[in-house]
Amino acid sequence: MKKIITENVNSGVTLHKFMEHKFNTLTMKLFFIRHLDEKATLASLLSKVLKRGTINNHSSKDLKKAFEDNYGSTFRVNVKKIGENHLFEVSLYMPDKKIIGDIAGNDAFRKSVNLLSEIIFSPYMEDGLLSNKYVEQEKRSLAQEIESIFNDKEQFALQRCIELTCENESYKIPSKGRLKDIEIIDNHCLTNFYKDLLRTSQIEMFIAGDFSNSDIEIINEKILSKFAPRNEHKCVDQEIKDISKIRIIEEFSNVKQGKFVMSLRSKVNPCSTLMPAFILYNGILGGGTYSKLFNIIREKNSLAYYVHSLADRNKQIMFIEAGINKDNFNKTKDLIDVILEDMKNGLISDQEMSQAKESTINSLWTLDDSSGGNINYYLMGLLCGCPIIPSDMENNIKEVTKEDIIKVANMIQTDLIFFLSSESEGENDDSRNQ
Amino acid sequence: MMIQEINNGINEILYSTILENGLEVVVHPKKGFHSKYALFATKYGSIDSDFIGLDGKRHKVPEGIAHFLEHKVFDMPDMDVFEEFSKIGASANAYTNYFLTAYLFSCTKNFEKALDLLLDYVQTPYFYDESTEKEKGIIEQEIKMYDDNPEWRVQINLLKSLYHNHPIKDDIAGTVESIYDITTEELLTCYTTFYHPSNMVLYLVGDIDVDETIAFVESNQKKKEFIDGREIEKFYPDEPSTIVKEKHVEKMSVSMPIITIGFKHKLPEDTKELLINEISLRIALDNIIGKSSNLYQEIYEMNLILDDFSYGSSINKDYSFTVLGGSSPNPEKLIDYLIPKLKDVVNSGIIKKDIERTRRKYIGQFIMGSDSLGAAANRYISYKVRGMEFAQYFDILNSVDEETINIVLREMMDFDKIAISIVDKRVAL
Repeated sequence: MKKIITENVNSGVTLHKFMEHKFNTLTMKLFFIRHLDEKATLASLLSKVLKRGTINNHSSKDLKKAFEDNYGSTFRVNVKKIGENHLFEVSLYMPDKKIIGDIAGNDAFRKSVNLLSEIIFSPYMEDGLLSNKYVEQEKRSLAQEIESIFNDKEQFALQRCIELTCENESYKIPSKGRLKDIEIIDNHCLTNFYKDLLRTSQIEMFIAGDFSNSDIEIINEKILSKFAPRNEHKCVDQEIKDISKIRIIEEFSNVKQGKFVMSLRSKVNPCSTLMPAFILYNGILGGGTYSKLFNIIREKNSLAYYVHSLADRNKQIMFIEAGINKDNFNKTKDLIDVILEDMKNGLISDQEMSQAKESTINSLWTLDDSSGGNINYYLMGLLCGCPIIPSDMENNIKEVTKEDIIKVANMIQTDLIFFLSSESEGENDDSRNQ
Repeated sequence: MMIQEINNGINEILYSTILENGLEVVVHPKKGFHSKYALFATKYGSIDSDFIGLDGKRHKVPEGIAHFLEHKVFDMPDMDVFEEFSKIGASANAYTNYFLTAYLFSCTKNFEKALDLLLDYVQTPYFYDESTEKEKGIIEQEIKMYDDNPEWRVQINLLKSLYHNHPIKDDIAGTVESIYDITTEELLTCYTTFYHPSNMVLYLVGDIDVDETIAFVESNQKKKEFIDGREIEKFYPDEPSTIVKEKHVEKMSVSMPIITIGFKHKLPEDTKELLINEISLRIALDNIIGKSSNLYQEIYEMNLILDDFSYGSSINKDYSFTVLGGSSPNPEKLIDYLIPKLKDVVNSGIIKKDIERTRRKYIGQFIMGSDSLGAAANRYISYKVRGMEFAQYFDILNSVDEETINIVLREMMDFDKIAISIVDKRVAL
């Protein structure tokens, strides 16, 4: 993608246009941006209720059918968290006009935007309130969804690690919200939250694909012009927590394989010139099959099938995850400690550097082949005040030196280790392990 | 050399040819994309453990060997394959399913180097005992990771309830016991048999030149010698048309029960029916139990399902089934309510208006799905290996009629061949 055209529609309301002819999909995404706080559960519930119906399509079934009829265009309403931001996202995907033809395509575009506008501005209401029946059904469904994370033990262990690591920070709140907040919600307070969201949240809308000026006019008319001016969302610098002692917390569940999660804090600001080095640091540590974790924990020591690191650069936090036999906990931990120390001491080969660079650049260009990928990447930077498109990041990555990575390594501190392991002793037969 | 042109239905041409050594190469140009994607697949999956090898002898090998072999094909005498891909900025991977093993990479530059590497490492057998033994620890952890996954457990248990003998009932990775039985010699036998070029397909997609790319692959292949290939005879045990048992419940700590309901299909008489069956069933099921159906909305509002409830069919000439399922707060009540209702809608059939809407939906999805190079490659290969011609997909999607759809639906959804699998922390049900 060559460039983005950004149009400030109103104070706090922005449209970003990514023109790209190669796609057969036209993508539109609208984000309401809020700080992550105790209202996350309301936002999460609202995302489910808005899918239930609109003024013209009273049920989710009718709403879905209206989209299906419209050349299989699809929509999503969901919430996600990036750093300590909570994003309420309404998105739409439709087949491109060059395939379905201009006349049908223009008609489908207008219908799609109308449907999107309906979902945002005209949800199904009774007596001026979101339907009580839908709110109650979705409360139940949300509670079940939140509970069901327990079924995915890797996700569950990661979530527990976040909760324990960030016990005094809003980052501990999961994007779907918290079970304990659901019960007291009713359709009155949810309707109020919905109205506040429309009135006060910062709005970032994106369109990516092949579109015309008249398409943009339709979006402005049907959606963006309906938003009153509002305050811009402020980027807040992360408070950096100093760690005096690494905590190790073990919990038990009926698992056959122990789930190891280590959290690490980073002092690299997401807009700092060291950010590209931080990305490469994560790559060399555990970003792929060329990484130290993969080669030492998995290939050399056969301790794990999955082992990797991941980072939320906006929150300045990292995690190392591995699935291991419970008896190998100490061995795994010791090896990871050595790897982290090695990186601080600059034990990074030229080959590791070049592999991390090549692999990172490859993923950046790959993002550029997906309209959704481009949008998400740009948004991540936008939220901390330094938006960048993937293809512009390439040069920054190329210029990173080994010294930069060593600097980054010394700005990373282990915070906590969470281990989810099996309840009974000796359940795992280790005799065959190498 | 003959190059066949295949129109995929949305004005994209795929170019297919068969090289002298029998390797089929498909080139799919996509203008403007930075990524290039290569998929190199053998028609050899987890169900193929009884066969006559190229040595002319019959072999019965341990469960999980195709997947084990996939791990070991990456071994090379003088290099670390992943490292080599990383050096040139390509991202490599592989997977094994029931009917194929595939090796792939994606890259945005150094395409030819990466392609050479892919062809060379897959076509260089390098197996030795120490390496075979070392892999067992890693695969054991992979199997255990899946053992902790309730969605996987519920699916495996369902297949064991539907199938008496067919190896589709076995885990793709095998069992911890079976993988420890695998020997280097067996790996080599399977490799020699199934990794012959005539048993493989190479799919290349991205902004690439057709003639240059084919010539490049051809020159790589000419440097290698292969023994003569021949049709590989595979044996599958006789499978009764009945199911094994109606219900399987596994105790596992989950926040909410997970249920799957499986229908064992009648097998097609001719592979030509496969694609028609698949598309017909997809349209029909979407109307019956898809998210815009009456029945889905009812059971959702009754709190019998969560919105992870989904359905899918696996259509093959030797095994064929449909699965519905997801999390359920009350699986017993769901079964009691859903099955008679399903029976009613299957009997009354799907009407034309609904078929047309669903057809439009899948056409749109097909168009949008074409933006993913990986999806394009994997879809083509998956059909090819199962004996279906992907070129016909769009035509059939556009033309399959109401009568066919309803006949297929009634034939496939046989209510005497239903099995149910549940994972729950409560045992007695």
